[in-house]
Amino acid sequence: MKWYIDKGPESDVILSSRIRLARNLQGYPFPNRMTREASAKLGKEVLNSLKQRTDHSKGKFRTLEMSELGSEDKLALVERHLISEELTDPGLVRYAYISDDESVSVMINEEDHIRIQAMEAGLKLEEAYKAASDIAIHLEKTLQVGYSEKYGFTTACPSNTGTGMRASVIMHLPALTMTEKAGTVVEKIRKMGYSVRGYYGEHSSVQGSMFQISNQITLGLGEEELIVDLKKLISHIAEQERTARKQLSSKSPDLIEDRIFRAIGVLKYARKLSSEETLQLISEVRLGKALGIIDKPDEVNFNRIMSSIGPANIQKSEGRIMEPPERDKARALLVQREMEGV
Amino acid sequence: MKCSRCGVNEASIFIKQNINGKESEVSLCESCAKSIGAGGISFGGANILPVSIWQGSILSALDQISKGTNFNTGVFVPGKAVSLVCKDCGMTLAEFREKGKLGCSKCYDAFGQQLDQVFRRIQSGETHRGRRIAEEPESIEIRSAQEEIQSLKRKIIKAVENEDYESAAKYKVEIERISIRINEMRESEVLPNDDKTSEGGSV
Ligand SMILES: [Zn+2]
Ligand SMILES: [Zn+2]
Repeated sequence: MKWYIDKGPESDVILSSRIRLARNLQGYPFPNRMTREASAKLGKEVLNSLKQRTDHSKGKFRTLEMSELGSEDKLALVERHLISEELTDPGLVRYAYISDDESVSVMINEEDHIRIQAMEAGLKLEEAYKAASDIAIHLEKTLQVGYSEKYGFTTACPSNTGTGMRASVIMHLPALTMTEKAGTVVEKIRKMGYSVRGYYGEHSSVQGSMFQISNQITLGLGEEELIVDLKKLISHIAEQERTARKQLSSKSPDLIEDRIFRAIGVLKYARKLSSEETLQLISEVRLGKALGIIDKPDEVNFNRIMSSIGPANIQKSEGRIMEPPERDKARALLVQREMEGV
Repeated sequence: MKCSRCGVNEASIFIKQNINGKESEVSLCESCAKSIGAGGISFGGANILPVSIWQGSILSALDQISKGTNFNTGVFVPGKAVSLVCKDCGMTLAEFREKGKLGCSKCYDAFGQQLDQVFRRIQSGETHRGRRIAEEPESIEIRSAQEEIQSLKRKIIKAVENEDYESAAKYKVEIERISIRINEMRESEVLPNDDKTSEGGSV
């Protein structure tokens, strides 16, 4: 079972939690100064250590060498948040080491030598941290991991030094968006030293009222403190969203119902859907579910749709390269199947 | 009082700073304070950064170093161009300044002084306070219980100062209670691991 086929705690507002840890090895330059030969050698060393792990709680892992994958396969991994775009750059030998349930992935030779990532559905930062740090500790015990008594874990960019940790949460904030309060909220979050991005990460704009919020500070505070602080901020925003939802549904119930049922209509009967439109419609139906206006589909269906509607994933499931109009058709069919019985 | 950076304008911003335990105050004019980003930074201690400082902050922080401005003091030190190089990877300070990225783990030794200045701007200080290498993590509950004990200890000191021995005794009992709880939490954390290894052995 894939990790995202689960709804997790506080799923009315929080889609998923993620922890990413950066580590590097001593004796090798960072990837930005590395030769291809060195990157291959380091890759072997890290994979060897990873394969010696005796903890099988996350199931089996598969190893992918990036240069052996087709460009669509690589993009499909990016769309599902399993790897970053940077890992698909040519030049160095780069690997992804991914668990069966896709909740854990290790990127080798990205910006740092090692980037460990763990994801959970809903608000489960501690669980994600446990999964990621288990792997980090194993590597720290078996390899020469770069560490300084003063600065902590060394990283290529000073913005990751110390804990090397980024904790992030994807929040669904449709009511704050509809009432035009989202802008102010985002502004405040940024002022507090957190970053806000769209669902597809790093360079993406916000779509479907999905916001990815993560810590910027990695040095000078412990992992636990960083997680607790982020959780405080997240629950504060979640409360604001819930209040805004209540106000919306009591002030203008007809308007909300109309929007939600229209969205269901389009998702069920449209013959062509772009990924952007799908995300927006899903956002509205998801709100209807959280408000109790509809009782189907389940959050699980939303998660499954969201993880499979990216252009590369559509092409992958169809097994061929497709032009955008063709993809929109295939996407509409896929969504229709998920909306059956709604 | 004149601004200690430009020496021309009247100083209107005063920053308390702590360098190696020595406390002093820097006086800056508004435009100098702005140009070194002093407005949003608390020098030393925990700080929350405004986003304007964050964006491109590493590069701009490095840019300031190259211009010879010492953030620590906000005082311009002319002609103090530094040429440093990491012996392990060959990265020069100029390259680091240009890219904003380091070349290897040893760069942290080579550019420590410059990094401290960068960290003071973009991080919450320049010292690691997280899990140490190869150390098992303490659970969040244990950590917060330990913090509770620290704050109770501070309360005891205050209470004793005020000759409020009754409260101090109460805090002491509370500390003992929390210590016991921490030990219990530690034990319950160890157990499941033991189970795992014995399971592994029987397979
Ligand atoms: Zn001045
Ligand atoms: Zn170096």
